[in-house]
Amino acid sequence: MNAKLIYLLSATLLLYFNSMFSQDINTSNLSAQKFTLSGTVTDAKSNETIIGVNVYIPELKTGTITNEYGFYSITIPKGNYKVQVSFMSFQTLTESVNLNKNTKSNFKLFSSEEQLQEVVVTKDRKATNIRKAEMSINKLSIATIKKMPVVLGEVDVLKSLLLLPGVTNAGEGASGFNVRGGGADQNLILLDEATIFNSSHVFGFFSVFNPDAIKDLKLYKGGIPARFGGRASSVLDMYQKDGSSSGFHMNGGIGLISSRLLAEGPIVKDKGSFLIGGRASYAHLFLKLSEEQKNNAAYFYDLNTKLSYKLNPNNNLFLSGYFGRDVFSLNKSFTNTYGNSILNLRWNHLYNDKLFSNLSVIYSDYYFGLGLDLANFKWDSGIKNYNIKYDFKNYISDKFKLNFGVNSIYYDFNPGTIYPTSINSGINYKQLDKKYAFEPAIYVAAEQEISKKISLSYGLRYSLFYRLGQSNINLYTNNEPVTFDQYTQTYQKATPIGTQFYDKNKVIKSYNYLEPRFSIAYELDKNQSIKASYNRMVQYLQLVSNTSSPTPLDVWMPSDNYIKPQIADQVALGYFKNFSDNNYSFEAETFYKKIQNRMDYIDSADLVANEAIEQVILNGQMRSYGLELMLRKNEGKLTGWISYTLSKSEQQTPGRNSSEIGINNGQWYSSAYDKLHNLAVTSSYNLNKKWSFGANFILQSGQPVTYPNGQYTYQDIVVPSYGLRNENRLPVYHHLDISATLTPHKNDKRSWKSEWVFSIYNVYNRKNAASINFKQNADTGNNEALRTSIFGMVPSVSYNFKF
Amino acid sequence: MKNKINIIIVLFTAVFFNSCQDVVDIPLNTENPKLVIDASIIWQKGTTGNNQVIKLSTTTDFYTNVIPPVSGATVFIKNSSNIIFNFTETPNTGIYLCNNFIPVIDETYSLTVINNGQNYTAKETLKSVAVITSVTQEKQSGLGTDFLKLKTFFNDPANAENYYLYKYKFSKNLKPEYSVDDDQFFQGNNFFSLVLEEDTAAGQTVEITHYGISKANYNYMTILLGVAGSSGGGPFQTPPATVRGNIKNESNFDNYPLGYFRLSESDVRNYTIQ
Repeated sequence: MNAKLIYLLSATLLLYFNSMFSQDINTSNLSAQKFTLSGTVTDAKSNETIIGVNVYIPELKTGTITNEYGFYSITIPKGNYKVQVSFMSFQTLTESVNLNKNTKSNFKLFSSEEQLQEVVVTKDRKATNIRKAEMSINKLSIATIKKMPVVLGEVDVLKSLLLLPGVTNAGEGASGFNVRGGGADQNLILLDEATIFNSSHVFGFFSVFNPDAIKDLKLYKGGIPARFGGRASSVLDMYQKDGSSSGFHMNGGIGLISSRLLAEGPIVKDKGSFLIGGRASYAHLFLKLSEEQKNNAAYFYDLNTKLSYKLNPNNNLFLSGYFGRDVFSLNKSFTNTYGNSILNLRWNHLYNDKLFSNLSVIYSDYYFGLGLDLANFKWDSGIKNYNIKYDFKNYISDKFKLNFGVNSIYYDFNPGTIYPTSINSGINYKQLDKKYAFEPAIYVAAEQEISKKISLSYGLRYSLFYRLGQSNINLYTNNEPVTFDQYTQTYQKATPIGTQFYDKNKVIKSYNYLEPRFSIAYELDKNQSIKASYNRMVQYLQLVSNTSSPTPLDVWMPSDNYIKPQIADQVALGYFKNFSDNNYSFEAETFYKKIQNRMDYIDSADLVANEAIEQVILNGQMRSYGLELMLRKNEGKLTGWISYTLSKSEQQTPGRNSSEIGINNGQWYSSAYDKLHNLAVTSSYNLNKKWSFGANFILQSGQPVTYPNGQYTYQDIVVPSYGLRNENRLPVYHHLDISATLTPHKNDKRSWKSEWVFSIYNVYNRKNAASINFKQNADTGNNEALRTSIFGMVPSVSYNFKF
Repeated sequence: MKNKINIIIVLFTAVFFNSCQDVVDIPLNTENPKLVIDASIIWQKGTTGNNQVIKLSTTTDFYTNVIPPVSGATVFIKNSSNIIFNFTETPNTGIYLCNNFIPVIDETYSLTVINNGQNYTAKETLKSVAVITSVTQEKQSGLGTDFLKLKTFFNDPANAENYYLYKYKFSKNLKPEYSVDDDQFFQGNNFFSLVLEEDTAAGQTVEITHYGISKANYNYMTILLGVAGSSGGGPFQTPPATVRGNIKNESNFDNYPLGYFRLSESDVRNYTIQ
């Protein structure tokens, strides 16, 4: 039935899309008064397309913004217009357009860096978009991110997100981030539309994204558009730069931990470009200097590549790639390698000046390998996925825009392959059962302006999920892989009563859900509006991890007979205001999110190399709610924002029937990412052309943890005893960071431009606890609380250049 | 095998995070005391196994050094033929002794403890263990400091699920080091237990013991060792929880005891560091 439905929907889409071919004729016949202005907006210097540029028609008080590929299209009545094209950190362009036929107009913007100081910077660039029905979205420009003070001078795209309202993480050296009280596994992280499964280097110290290669990023915390799906809490949508097609440039940086070098240039002038960027750490080279450490290694590297080619005005091709690895090795007896790779071929096609399409064929994978020469074996695991996406954007009128598309992903999970590394290893070769799944989806969404005051955005996504063979599926009594032992009142692994074999591509279990998305904006006046949104998101992949932040060891797995997909429903309500001539913006949002089927682990579940994860998991639920406030100063020498979030995130796993007590006695308890208070202040001050300064301050409630409520001894082992889960909190987490950027004067006269960034992370040397462990001191025999803190005060300097 | 991954991860994080640890003062609440039953019946190869010990104590404040013993309890074990082995307390020590226990491999025993009018019971099977065949010693360098690496070999019996508890007691240390293993990845092979130890010197001795344990006890010990903080913490720690054993309070279900009733065959090797 599902297959039929998909077929039906696809057929409808195809019909629709065929009719679009004849759009031109229709338009000129039926609405002779209206014409379409369309084209792309690029950076004048590099020909790089720009995402999210405002194209505004002051005469009509209407406008549009460029899409992910820099394309815009707007259909308006015939006439003479002064089109304003504006984007942050670019000079606003005003161009006269005489629209008496469908017109292609490509705009080129000049960076405001290149302008003289006295030129008045046009306002209205960073101010909150009052009218659009989108909410719960944060955008950060790479220029802003690069000016923030960071630990060890490593510009970090993900850590900068933590300054936004509603975003936290587990602390220093922890990977991932938590959006509105959601798990790190509930974020969909996309780089050029490809899914990134592990976003950090060195177990979370640095992110895998080379800031030089990133063009734009957008974080969706709620009101998520229908074109995205597959994760419950958020979408982080990032695009790599295309590379300059006008001339050859290089830029790079030298830091304490890593160095970066990026080259870009034309393949065919103004038509094709390439970009290749690399980043590598070299701290391990110092290890070689020490006699003791010379056989150890710890490093990471990544490589970003992109080829873009403009076939003709209506067709563009992009090939992008990413490859990153972390490598650790201790005297060759222990080696650990992990990382992501992606390869993506995209084809932008304009069917006509109102119908934009993009076809993507994406491969991405995550690999984790462990070699233990000590015990003579090697361990490999990973996830591969193949994704085909076809997205359409139809700019029907200046009041109505339709987006639709299809998407299908095939997953291949390898939970683990164990190889002996020598003949007398003692370890047997073993392949843990591979898992396969298929996730197709189809969506339609509209953006509509109903009146001068009300705009809507609504859509529907229909997603399906098939867990496929070949696989052996364990069978259990009453279909329960976890049994409740009345004797000890604990949950225990059930013993399978048999297995069922499914052939290759046989459906083991399937799910399908309709995911409605809706948001509305009501403009109170030209400076303020209220917005509301609802979204349902369904997550079919689960991250098996019982630590508070992901580790490279964590295993992704598909939903199946026993582990159900997570279903998130979120409502949000917001108030938005620009004031003092758009110099300041104020945003306030409240949200409530409920997630069904959040998996929870029975007490002390073992997850490493566990072949039957279902035996330690119960399906529970999760809820989070909160208030987010943000005050931003958009213009002037001093810019920045203050954000504050008051929120709660909890989970509950009740017993499956009245005779069971559930996990944590079936009570709601704080999730590991519950942060009651979260305050972030970030600011940058441009003193003059030579010096600029930045400062960040973050304060978060301590992470929920479980402290012992007693101790006992068993077999000479001192054992702390515990009560209910997450009833205590680590000490409050806060730090202040500052930075200063020096741009030497001599830059003006030459093409080689450089800057020095000096920064101090954690200025007052706060020892924030990453964890507190309670254990016996092996020397004294006394019990003690041991705090692990990652960074004290860390000064750093880095040098960046471009030419 | 899994435990070896864990050992390495622990070592690795220890090397990585070592410099950033310090002792802090964290005030803790103390829950009402609970009975702890340490009933480990050990039949060392080559002995009669007649002499056995059971210890009773309670939970207490985390920071104290004194573990309160439980005196005046009635303790006995029954085998499947209903033969009773009584355990008598050495007065006011919480230590209960028996000198006529009869161990039989794969025999099922039941334990009864009566204390303060509460009746505690448990059932468990005596598990066999493979003979230790040899011990090898190597130097493991490059982990920041030098480690002594000992491997203790045995032949895992084929066609049977076996679970192991390994204990290494270095003469220089106050406390022994434990780890557990299951034969999932080395079924029927010649395999080994492993320990990495710092600051050792030639001439020091190590008492190495391998115990055969049940699957349930393997699960219990895995959790217990994790909770006991021998995992060293760091970013891979799992959320801790109460570790419930196999002993039940027949009189008051919710007032459950801690500890475990286990019966193991063991093999011991005394090794002198070269």
